[in-house]
Amino acid sequence: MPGELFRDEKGQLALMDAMVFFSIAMLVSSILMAQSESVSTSTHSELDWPGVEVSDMLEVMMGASIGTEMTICLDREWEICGSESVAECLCAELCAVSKGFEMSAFDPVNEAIAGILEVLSGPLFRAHVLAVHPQGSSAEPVLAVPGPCRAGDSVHSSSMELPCGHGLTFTIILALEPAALPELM
Amino acid sequence: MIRRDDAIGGFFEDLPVLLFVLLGVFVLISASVIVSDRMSEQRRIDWLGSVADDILADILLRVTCADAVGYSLTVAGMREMRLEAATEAAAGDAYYCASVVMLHPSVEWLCSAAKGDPRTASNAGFAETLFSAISDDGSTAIVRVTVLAW
Repeated sequence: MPGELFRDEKGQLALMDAMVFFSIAMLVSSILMAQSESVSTSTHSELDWPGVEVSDMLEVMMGASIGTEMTICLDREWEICGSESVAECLCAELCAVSKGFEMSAFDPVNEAIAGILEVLSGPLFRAHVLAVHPQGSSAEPVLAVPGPCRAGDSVHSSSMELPCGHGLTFTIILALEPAALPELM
Repeated sequence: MIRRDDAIGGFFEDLPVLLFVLLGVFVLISASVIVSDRMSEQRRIDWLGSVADDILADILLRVTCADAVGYSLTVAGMREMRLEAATEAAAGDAYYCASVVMLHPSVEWLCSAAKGDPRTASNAGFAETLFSAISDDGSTAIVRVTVLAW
């Protein structure tokens, strides 16, 4: 029919097919992009501890010398020449505390351990050493250097047993938590 | 020459169809290119990570088997150590920077080796470890080995 615009349903079906194709293309593209994004971000997170294994760090720290000369005043004076290991110092401290001595007498030891932890953890994380009595009635740590550690998924930790003689064994926990923002500024 | 409205009407009717199809193909191709770029970047980061691990393993092998080559696991021995001999083979084509630093009882740089300019790095692999060594005064020191490959 000359002069008459030819329209039928075939064109509308083709347009609908094209729109369906476009929608599927958008869907597939967004799935691909989301998948690749999750793969590239799952390898590194701001809360990931990027350094060595925490268990290795605990082992090296416990074997290191305390590095500072000091005198601990208990019922008698205890001279520390600096070459004693952190494990030996912690053992003596935990034994003394379990016998009823004041924890404050061991402040120089705790300060030296806190210094080692600060060097090991770096500026982005804070390291804590906690000592827990496995047979104790309370879950509260007997010792927390430099202070208690907050619980959370972002805390990385490792533990080891520290036999202190006379059947006394403590669990030493090294916990690494991300440093708070004010500490970084 | 035939002139009628059928062909003209059909052509304009197909333009939106063509537009949707072209847009769909463009979106698919763009997503494929972006995902391919991300995957190749991730593969390169993984490869750099394995290079950093290899360099670290070679340094540790040299440090811990030091007796065989005249060094001992002491801080004084590590000051004299030449890291290039341990790192060149493992690095291959990658650029790297490796350093051995005593962290405790005092902070002291002991030795290092580097190839390339780190300012050109876009992606990098990282490896690090800690070990104990005998310091100059006989106490047990903490030493850190850090490797960055790019």
